[in-house]
Amino acid sequence: MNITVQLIDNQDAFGRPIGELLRIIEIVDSTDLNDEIIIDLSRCRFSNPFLLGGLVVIQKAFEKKGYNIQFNRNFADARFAAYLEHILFPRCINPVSFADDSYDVFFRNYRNRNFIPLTIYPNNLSPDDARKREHFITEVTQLIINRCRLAGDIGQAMRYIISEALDNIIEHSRSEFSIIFAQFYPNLGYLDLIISDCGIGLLGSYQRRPDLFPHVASHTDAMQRAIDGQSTKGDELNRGFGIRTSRNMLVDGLNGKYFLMSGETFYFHDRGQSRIGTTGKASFDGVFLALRVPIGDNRNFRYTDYLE
Amino acid sequence: MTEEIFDVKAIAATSSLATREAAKNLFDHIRLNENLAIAILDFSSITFISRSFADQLLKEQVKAFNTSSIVVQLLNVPADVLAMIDKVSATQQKTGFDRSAVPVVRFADAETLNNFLVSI
Repeated sequence: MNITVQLIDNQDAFGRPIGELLRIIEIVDSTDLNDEIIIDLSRCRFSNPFLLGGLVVIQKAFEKKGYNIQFNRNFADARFAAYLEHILFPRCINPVSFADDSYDVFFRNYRNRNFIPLTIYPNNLSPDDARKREHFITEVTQLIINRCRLAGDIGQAMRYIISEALDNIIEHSRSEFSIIFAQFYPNLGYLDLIISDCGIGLLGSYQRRPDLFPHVASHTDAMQRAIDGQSTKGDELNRGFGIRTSRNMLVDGLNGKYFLMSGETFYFHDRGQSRIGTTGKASFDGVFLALRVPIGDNRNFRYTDYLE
Repeated sequence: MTEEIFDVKAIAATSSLATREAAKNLFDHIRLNENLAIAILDFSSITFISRSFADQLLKEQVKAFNTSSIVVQLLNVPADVLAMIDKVSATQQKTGFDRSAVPVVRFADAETLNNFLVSI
């Protein structure tokens, strides 16, 4: 039996694409392992990076469990089809596949675009490939900074937020990869950025250290510890600041929105509210970080004010 | 992992919660349950909470988490009540009382969750 999920998403609300992603996870999760699942984007004229990036991750997460997930590519809207080609959906670009001297040629294609390509960073790399990954992270971050004209301190904040999120995945997730994807909306004045993996999630990360955290039993418990800065590395003096500092820079400093999801729990923080919520039946394997970064007048923002 | 739903109105015997004492009593009631991992506080039919109650609720939530690893989740919270909890939570975090004083909301169904996500 084929299952087709219809996606129509032409609104820019922050949480709506995440809600759609959760709906799809719930449907896929209730499907028999032997069924072919087709995620149908054919009626879309627009889609948010949170949804597109999330779809790539859940495809890989469910494939790991033995599911067969495909995307319907018969698009009604030719411009949307071209957009998906440009962002490399769903195949992504992998820095390890590049020769060292070919980065410039590749990134030249994106200098005037309002998006970066869907980028997948493999984990567990050889030292040489890890250097390529590091180089690529720098290039992708710089692409975002240049395109959004994030001068000075705001550029530094972007570097901090992206590097901390990716390093957390490399250090803690036990995921085979991380993905990053961003879309810039000049007319709306913000950047949407997703960084995600399909690893063991926050709960799995805490449960791997029963010596330090003997009672962590739920995703909510793990989320509370993560946003509180409790490090699974056990060196409290120098660890555990990444999530907290990133959140403070983005929300308090730049008036952005911060959404972190793992398992059946999410955390949402903006200047109006800060809350942990449960996702019901939908469970996200790994960690899903969705950020909205305003590109407005943030002249008073000082990067160093938020360093802990 | 054990979880239990606590009917806040039934325990407090009122739909309007004014005092810190009411929050303390609620958590004394919760702590009577051994081996509890998740305490779900059902705010159905609660029409009002004071700032004092909200402040104490979050402090008790942090205490339950830090001392007994009990995760407290809020269910069926009316919008006005949640708005008060959000305000107090924001103040507590700003003043550095405790960063984990973040309300944990358990959505009653997929529609309620989706309504929240659409609103943010």
